[in-house]
Amino acid sequence: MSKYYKVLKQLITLASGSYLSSRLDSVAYFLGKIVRFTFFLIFILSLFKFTETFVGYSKYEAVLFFLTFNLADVLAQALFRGIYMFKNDVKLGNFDFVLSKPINPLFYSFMRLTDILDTIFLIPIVSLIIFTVIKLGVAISFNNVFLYILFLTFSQLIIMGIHVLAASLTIWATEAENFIWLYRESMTVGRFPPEIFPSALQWIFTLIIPVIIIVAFPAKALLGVLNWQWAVFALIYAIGFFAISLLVWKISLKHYSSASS
Amino acid sequence: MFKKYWHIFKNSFQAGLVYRFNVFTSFFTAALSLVIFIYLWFSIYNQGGRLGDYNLRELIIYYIVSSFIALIIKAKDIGWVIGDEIRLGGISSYLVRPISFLYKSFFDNLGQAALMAAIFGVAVFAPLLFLQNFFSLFTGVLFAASVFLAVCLNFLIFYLVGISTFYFGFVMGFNFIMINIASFLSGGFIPLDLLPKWLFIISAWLPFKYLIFYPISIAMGKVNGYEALSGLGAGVLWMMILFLAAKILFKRGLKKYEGFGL
Repeated sequence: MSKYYKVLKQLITLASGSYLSSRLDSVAYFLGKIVRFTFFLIFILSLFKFTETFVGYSKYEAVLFFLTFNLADVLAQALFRGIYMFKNDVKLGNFDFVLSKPINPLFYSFMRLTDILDTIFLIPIVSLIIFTVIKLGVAISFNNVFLYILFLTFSQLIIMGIHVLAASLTIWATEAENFIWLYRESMTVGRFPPEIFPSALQWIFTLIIPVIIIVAFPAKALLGVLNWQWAVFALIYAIGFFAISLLVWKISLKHYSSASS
Repeated sequence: MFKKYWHIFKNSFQAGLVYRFNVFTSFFTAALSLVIFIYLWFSIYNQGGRLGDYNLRELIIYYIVSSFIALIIKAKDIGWVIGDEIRLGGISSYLVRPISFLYKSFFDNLGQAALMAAIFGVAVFAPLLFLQNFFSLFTGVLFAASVFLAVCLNFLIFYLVGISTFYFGFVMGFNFIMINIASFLSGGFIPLDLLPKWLFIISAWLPFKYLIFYPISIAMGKVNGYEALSGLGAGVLWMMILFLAAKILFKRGLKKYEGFGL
């Protein structure tokens, strides 16, 4: 375990160095994230000039869904950014060097580029979540907070599974890297409460593209409106999804043909 | 003179056909975003809400046309492409040819925009005919002119972002900021007249509204006649200002350029 800790520490140091080497651009990129986030928040708040609720959710509850979407998405970006370099590794044959290291190749491929900017961006997001929860005006118990964190953990497990699937597909066909971008776009569904969609779409976004489990379940758990059947389902789904993705990864590895040799 | 640029336009159009997955990804993104927004409006209007002067049908039309224009004007990440050409020295080969880098980049972008318009034009306007008795001939011409203006303005804004690489070395972050500002202040998220008043006033003084909000206002008959023509005139004025700025900044930037790849 200490080996992985040392590698992770080294990778984070290298990633930090990389961001610091282009400080001006990093600051601009960070500002870009803030601008995007702020504009969308203004958009949601603007809508509440014209309506009291969104499908039964108050202004601050709707904002909580948006913030939870950001938290789940940014956390995954901070942790798994390395996957975006995976296509080139496979294409150029550099993945050979990863495979020959005495470390799990998935761990290395995922963690090789910790997104420092996204890590910093987590601070305003978490602060705003705390602010929103205070503004909700309802009593949030310790249990609700615990469930929120637990469901966010499930979210990250599913997102990790999606990234593993993306990496596996890249081994089969390098152009399949775009799969990860389709996932990123699909995630935007989670910016609003899922009840705005008809039930057929809600099923699709729960079972096939599990954005609702990733984003809406944690938010609903915090608000205390998620029933236990769905909670159990989310647990089974997250573990099952991740296990299947690992299985697909193992099969894909057998099909890896080194481009450089 | 423009024969060489015609070839660039044609090549770019054909190159776009090769990367079919990129076209699919663009379409998927736009379609998904459209679905989300349409259901959002349904949910608000079904519970008795109403967004400003827009009825539900008008809002749906707004978002369909908005997605279409966004697909055209964002066919290429201009700031990133031009920034990389300067940063990695690709521009060097154009400096020694009898070709303008500005026009070459413009026609390259226009080829991609034309491809997107050709692919998605029918798909977008066919359902619109059912939603609204759309377009008199005059409105149609004004709308087409305003979309062409949007393509030009968007190109010039992001061309300026791209050539700022001469001054800053690396502009990925700056490009990202501008993409987000342009997306929002063009009316891509929400019609600008639904924004808080202070933001609406700010957007009125900037060129971004001519990218999406203004062409749609023409298409929906919210501005017509003299108002539409004067708006187009203001857009053209912005185009001239940006064109001039692009010329000056490029000329000065070249003096700083260190000629990678020559």
